[in-house]
Amino acid sequence: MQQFIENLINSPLYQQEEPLPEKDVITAQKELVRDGFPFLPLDFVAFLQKVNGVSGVDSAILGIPPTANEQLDILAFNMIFNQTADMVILGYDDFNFLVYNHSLNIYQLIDREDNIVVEEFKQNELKYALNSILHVNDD
Amino acid sequence: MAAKGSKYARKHNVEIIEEPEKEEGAFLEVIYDDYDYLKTFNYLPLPEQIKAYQTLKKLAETNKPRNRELTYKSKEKLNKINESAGMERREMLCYPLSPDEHHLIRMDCYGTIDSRPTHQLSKFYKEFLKKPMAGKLPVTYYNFDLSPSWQLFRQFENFRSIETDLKIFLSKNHIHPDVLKVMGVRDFSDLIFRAFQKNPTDMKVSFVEESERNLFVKQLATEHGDQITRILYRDGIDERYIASLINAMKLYGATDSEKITITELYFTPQVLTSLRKADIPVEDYDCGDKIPQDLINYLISHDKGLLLAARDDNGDILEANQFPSFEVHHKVAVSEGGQLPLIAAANYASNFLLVEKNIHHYVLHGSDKLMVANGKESYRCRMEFKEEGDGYIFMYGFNSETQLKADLTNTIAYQKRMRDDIRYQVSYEDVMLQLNENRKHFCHQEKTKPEFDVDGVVRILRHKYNAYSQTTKK
Repeated sequence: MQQFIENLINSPLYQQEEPLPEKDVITAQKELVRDGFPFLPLDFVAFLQKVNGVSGVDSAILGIPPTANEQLDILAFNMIFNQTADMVILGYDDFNFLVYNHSLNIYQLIDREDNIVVEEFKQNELKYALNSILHVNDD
Repeated sequence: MAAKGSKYARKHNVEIIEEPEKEEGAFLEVIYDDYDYLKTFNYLPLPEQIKAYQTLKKLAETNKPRNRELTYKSKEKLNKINESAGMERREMLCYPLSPDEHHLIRMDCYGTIDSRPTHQLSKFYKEFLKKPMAGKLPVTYYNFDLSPSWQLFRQFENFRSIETDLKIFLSKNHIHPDVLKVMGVRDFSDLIFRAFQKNPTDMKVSFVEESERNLFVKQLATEHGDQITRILYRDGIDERYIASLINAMKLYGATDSEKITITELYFTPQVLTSLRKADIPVEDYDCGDKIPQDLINYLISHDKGLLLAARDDNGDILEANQFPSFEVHHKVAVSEGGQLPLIAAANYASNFLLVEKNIHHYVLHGSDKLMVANGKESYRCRMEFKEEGDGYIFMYGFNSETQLKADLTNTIAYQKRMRDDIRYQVSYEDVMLQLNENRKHFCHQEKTKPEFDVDGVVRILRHKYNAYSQTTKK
């Protein structure tokens, strides 16, 4: 995971100036639960504390508000696009949502339109899951 | 134009046409007005249009009996707005593809492959990797025709073009050619990742010079840059941003304002000072001269683009997030890829649309919903373009003046590519059945059992296609 974060911090995608405050995390977790979604997994919160939302090519990993731009707001995004009670959307691209499935305790890439599970990652494979949703421009 | 109250305006008795103020909250007029709402909507600036659209959508989804009329009106307004933008909501899940095919289309689109956890790989492939041969075999021993899974990859030009690279990798690493017969789709993804990985810390690798997505963006900037410029300029977007956007599209396929260096178009005192400080010769230039494009591109490519940074009246660098960003959208969704003549066509330029980011999220993908419950799929809708939808290539707003159309299928290159791709078209079911046979044969030799239920995958697909055909019969 450390390597993934380092790669990200050293890339032009990274724009965060300050670490994410603990109180914002608590507020966001409370709001998610109040809105009927599961808690964010701890590994993902640890990631957000270093990289609180990042946008790639036609894709993004969502973050806890206040985020650099409002489209990265994980609470607002889930309110619009999520109708489940056991999953929370962590990121998106033009094809898929990256989801944490609380019931199964796994990460999944789920097609945005027909909800087919395209890929699955175990609980300890967050770096693969995040890497798979974020597209970068190599030029 | 003379400014209101300016000396010029007073002297020449210029008539100032007062535009109504576009206050924040102007979108509410669309909600409250049941008659002229379309006209009001079309007059609003884009951010207010998006707010109006989102509010109408929320109201349209309200199911409370006391709000029935409001719900009905909101639906009607949304339909009218969509219709005037050339779009309509359509039912989904008619032409599904398998997760493997989704995976292939996604890799082909972005031209990248991700590092993946080993549990996603088949035990057959892992076995072959673990036990390399003592000697190296010539590249000619690796016959990709014998690999069922590779036939799925071969449907895409990008994957066909790297076949030799993969053969060389297999040969160099002493991997037995029989592996090809039992490799699954994820195994090939892993192989491509390994073959193209440059550094051990890479988690994502490019396997093509240029992704399909970027090729489309570059083509758009080159062939329609002037038209896009006119559309954005008409909306009052700073011409420095427009020029920087078009340039970034041409150079890098970049379309996100936050990833673009916005440069001045003409030399300013600040720019000349910055260049002098950086030891870049500027003797030939004066304030007001146009900055040569070569110089802009040179400085950007050497990470010195900020020397030319465009600034506001206070001398501050222009903030990127005030300008529109764009994203590439698949007009025919991958989940509906079965309706395309061949799956490779999902990533043809003719299936791409460059669309303003908010319209992309809240309108084109506005009907997307995560609704999976206990593995059951839900019945879905998607925003699609009406007749002639194939022609849309650029969308900055809801009316035809902010959209561009072009027939990208009417070219020799397109026809040739289509002809080439058709030659490699295969059926997913046939491929899976062949892979299953190969694995059974391999297990028979090795006295082990196949690892996963390929028949199961095929059964699920059949079930889906049958469900669709029954729906259409009704």
